[in-house]
Amino acid sequence: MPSINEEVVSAFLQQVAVEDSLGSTVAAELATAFAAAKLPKADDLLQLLTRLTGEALA
Amino acid sequence: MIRVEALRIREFRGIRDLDLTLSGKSFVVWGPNGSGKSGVVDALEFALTGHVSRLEGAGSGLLSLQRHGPHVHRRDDPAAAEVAVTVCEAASGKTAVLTRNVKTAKTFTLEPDVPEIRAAIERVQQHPELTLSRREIIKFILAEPGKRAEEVQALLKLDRLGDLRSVLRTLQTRASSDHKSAVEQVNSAQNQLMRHLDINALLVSRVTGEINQRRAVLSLPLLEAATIETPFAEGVDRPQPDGVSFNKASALKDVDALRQALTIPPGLSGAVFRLLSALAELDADPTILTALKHRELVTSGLAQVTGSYCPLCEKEWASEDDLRRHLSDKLERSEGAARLERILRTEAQQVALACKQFRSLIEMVVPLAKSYGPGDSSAQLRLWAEDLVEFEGQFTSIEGARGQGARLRSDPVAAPQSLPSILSQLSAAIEAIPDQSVTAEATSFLIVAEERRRSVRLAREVEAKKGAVHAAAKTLYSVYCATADKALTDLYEAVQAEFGTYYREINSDDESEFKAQLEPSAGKLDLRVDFYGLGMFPPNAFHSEGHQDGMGLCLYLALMRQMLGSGFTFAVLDDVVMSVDGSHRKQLCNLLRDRFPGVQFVITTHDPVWAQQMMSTGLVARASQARFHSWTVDDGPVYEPATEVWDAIATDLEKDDVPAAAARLRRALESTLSDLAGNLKGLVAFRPEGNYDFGDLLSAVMGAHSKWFGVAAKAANSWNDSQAKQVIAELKAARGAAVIAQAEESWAINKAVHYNEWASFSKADFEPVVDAWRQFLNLFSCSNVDCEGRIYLVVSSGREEALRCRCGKYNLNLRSK
Repeated sequence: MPSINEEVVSAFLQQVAVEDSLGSTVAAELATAFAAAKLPKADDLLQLLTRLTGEALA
Repeated sequence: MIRVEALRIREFRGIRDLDLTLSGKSFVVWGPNGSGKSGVVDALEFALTGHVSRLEGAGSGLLSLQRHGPHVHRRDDPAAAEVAVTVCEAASGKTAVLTRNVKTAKTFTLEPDVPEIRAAIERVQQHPELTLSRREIIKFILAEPGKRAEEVQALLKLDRLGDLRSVLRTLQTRASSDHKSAVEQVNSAQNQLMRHLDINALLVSRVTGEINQRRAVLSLPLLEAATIETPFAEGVDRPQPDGVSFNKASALKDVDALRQALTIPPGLSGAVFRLLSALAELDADPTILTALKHRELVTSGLAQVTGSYCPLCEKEWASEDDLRRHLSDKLERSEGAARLERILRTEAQQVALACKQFRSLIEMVVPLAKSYGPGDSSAQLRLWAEDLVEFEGQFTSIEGARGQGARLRSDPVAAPQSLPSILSQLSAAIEAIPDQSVTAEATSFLIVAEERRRSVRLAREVEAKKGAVHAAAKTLYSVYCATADKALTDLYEAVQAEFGTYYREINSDDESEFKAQLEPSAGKLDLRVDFYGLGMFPPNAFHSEGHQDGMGLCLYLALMRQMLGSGFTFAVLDDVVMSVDGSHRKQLCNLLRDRFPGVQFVITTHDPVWAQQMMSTGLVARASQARFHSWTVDDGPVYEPATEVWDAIATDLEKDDVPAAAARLRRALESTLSDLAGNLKGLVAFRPEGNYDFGDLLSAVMGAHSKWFGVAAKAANSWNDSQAKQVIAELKAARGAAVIAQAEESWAINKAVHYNEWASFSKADFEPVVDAWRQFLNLFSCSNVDCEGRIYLVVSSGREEALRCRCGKYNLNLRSK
């Protein structure tokens, strides 16, 4: 059975995907980050968001 | 996960050589304190996890597994200390032998190396809470709410939820800081543009007016509305496309802006004052900083205080209250330190921001100084700007800020001493430049305005991106908090419900309406429980120690059920209910047996009554026990393996040791008749010391047995249940034969006979006695070998409903039509 941690992360990503200001691209990129490192670093997430919001602006 | 089939211990802790057969069933290790039971618990924990809690963590001081894991006689030979466990993986049913020795404690061998079992062992290693003592269990009940939240979250492996929350909070803080910095860049760029346009607000009308005034001079088309997106200098011929744009009036204003900032550093003085005050508070009491560092340690120590002995310094205090007060004072001081830390960080950030504003002013003047300033003035200004960059960098940590106290007090900006002179000379040099022609002034004005417009546009673009990142980070954090909080609330509600159910079952006689509330809030976990319908209180407010023990176990079981679900197949409970009274222990046995039929409990206890209850209730089979009598340093525990009493008597008789067989038989009868008197509501004259006479117990059991047979026969007749009538007739016949045989041989177990006549009592004389009693006791047991349970009365709403065994094969209805 999945751990509570896994359940929360999964529910979190689902919620991110339906948030107007975030969306499925952010959720998918975050899922990749969580798959690569169970606890990603804040700096890595900051880079990820910077890249994604930059792409959105372009 | 797993079940344990067998355990082999060699030269480990207090045990030299011990083999136990558990057969994957619940098992009890019982015996007096100091008889070596804990060695079994340590061995199981060590084999399954590679650790021994008793030798690690708070209070373990200089202890280590390597040095103190082996038996004291083999303390220099850790390889000799070895534990082997035959484990069965519950889902696949496959078995293997896991062997681990102290020398190479981090690794284990598995024979055969079955992937399912290896995976199961690795899961067990993630759950050290499968082995718990009373002290560890009761902490869930007695802990402060903040500490309870930590303990429960650690047990449920929820600490990663907190870690991720912390990462996302850091992400939000960094994104916010980046955004603030970008906003500052926008403000700085806008100030430069407004200074150049000589306006005090960046309104479209004002900007359009200033720009069109110059465009009109150059006969260029006027702009309808000059916004930040409008090229101001469109159509202007650029005389110096690669050079520095120069506009005399604007240049003088830039130099003047730096001069003015030197005399009145805007946001800096207030931030420096507040930062210095906070640093002074920190310096005045160095223990604050130490308290901050020790905060975590003290919090954990306070939660473990159960008397006047300090788990941190390992010293005895005058009283538990003194010790608690001392630790609470320390915590209070560290709370002040945490508050001070927040002030320091905020003000340090403000100082760094003010320095950045200064640098933007310097950077505007550097190119002017290069063209018109005296000597190496531009180099001096550059060095000053670099120094400010380094100074700003010191404010990212408290230690860094502490190191800048002297500079903050004297001259935080640390402008070059020659700066006033440089700026005066620079202004004079710019003033001395001949005034530009009207068209040249208009051209340079528009070119500089365009450069600064672009800077504002760029700064706003960056700010918009940083703002978007900050907003995304904020949303991520809030979405995560909402998701995690909901999951935790749901989880705690489920745990709360299960915990309440378990506790009510144990205490159905006096707390059948018991309720519990487990409320998470701001990193805390508050537990309140009902006290006889009089209100909700902390669990240690009014409930007795025994009830608290029961609550601790119920909460632990509820948490494990939530965490592992069907994977909860094994747990070691090390003397966990020492304060629970006898009747509630029996209910506890029933709870473990009925609610956790798939869990193999290995239970240690020093209490023979509870050990007997575990067996009489069917929680553990009679064969699933090891009784420890005593312990010696050279030989380890003196123990009696799980042997059926009749087999043990047969062994005694094979050795012609009739006195031993007789003593064993009498002990077994006393214990069994005592249980049966309880099961059948047999009436025995009360004895305050609880030491009931064998004869009294026998009469009570026989009387009650006869009475309930009569009631059952009457009930069968009332229902005209021919099958029941037949069963009762057979049981009565068996009873008649057994009672006659027992009566003929009962004299043989008289104590006086044991003490006086054994020399002439032979094995042949005693064997019929054993057979008679065995036949007699069989009247009260189920014939199903998987049940082995003794019969008992089923009572509902104060009425006797049935006489039955645990599996239901023996079942006589007692209620008439």
